[in-house]
Amino acid sequence: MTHWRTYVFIINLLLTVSAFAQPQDTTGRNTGFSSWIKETHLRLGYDLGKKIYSKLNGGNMDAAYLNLGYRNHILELFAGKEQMPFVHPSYTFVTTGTYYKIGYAYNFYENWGNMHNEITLGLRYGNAGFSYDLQRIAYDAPTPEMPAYVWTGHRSYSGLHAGWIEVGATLKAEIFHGVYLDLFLSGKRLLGGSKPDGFDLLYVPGFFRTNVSGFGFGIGYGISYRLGL
Amino acid sequence: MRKWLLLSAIILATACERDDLCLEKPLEGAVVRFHNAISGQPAAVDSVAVYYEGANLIPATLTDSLLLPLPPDRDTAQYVFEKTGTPASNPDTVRFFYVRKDTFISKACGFWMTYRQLQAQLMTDNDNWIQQITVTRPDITDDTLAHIRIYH
Repeated sequence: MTHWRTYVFIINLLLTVSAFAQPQDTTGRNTGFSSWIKETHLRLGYDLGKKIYSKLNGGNMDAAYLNLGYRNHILELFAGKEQMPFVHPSYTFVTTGTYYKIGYAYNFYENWGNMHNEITLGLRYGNAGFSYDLQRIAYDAPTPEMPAYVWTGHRSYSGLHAGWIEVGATLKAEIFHGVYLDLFLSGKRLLGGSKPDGFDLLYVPGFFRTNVSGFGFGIGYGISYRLGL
Repeated sequence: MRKWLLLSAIILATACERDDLCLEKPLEGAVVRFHNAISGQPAAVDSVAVYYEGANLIPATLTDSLLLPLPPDRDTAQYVFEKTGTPASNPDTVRFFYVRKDTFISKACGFWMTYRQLQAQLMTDNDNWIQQITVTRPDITDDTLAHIRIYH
């Protein structure tokens, strides 16, 4: 929850700064700042893929991203809030938590004219804070003469954290004026994480399902708006 | 055609994770050993059948040890031990009390129930073929050594 306030503040600050851009000073020459600001841009995006996926799977994901660009260099910032059920034949638990990602990417695509499409490749670091609520455990019947037992209730594992590193490629294409469709592709690896006592780190918000190797792979899409001169 | 085969092979290979299959089995139950009430030595019963909630859990077998499964849905379990064969005797009821606790095994296997602090109570009537029942190891953590001794 605390992550959200930080990012709203940063986004507000940057939007205010970019509002002060002026193309020319009173003498008619381009000053250092104005020529610099012409080369920067801002992109504000919303992860549509995660929203649709989460709603189809009985949970909720809200994720947004901010790109600060200077020429072809991009500073990527992501933040998200998730509440997702993990349904296994033997057990079910719900993950509730938030995450952020910060990274650097480079745009390799050479645009013609006034277009600002991008194909970027970058490296990001992600971190999540979350908790699990175990809600169902199914115990097998030891023999056919005894009934199986299904426990339902709430068993919580809180104060969990995990970090990961991600290599991400993005394709950004303009659909109509200033609005872009972004496609994401990423390979990631879990770096460390607190293992809950008597359970395991099975799902991390922002990373998705974990596995023995620690590696993960992601595909997604979002919609963004580009602010630039 | 070959490119498609290779792609589908890669997709299939990556779809199966090592931690998707549960390859372990839980413990089958408490180890029960039958002993002679006079000598204390292990002695086989000819033949013993175990009933749980009216259903035949273990069919009549000539044996000196049994694996007794414990139910995961309750804290006390009542079993009926019937001795078929000579000398004839009416079936004896034994009640077990225990503490259940689940432990997480793995992502694929989930949780398994463990049974600890086992206690046994023999329901006496005027004709018992079981003389005494003692718990030697109250925590069921393996299936090698006896947990319960039945003297007959």
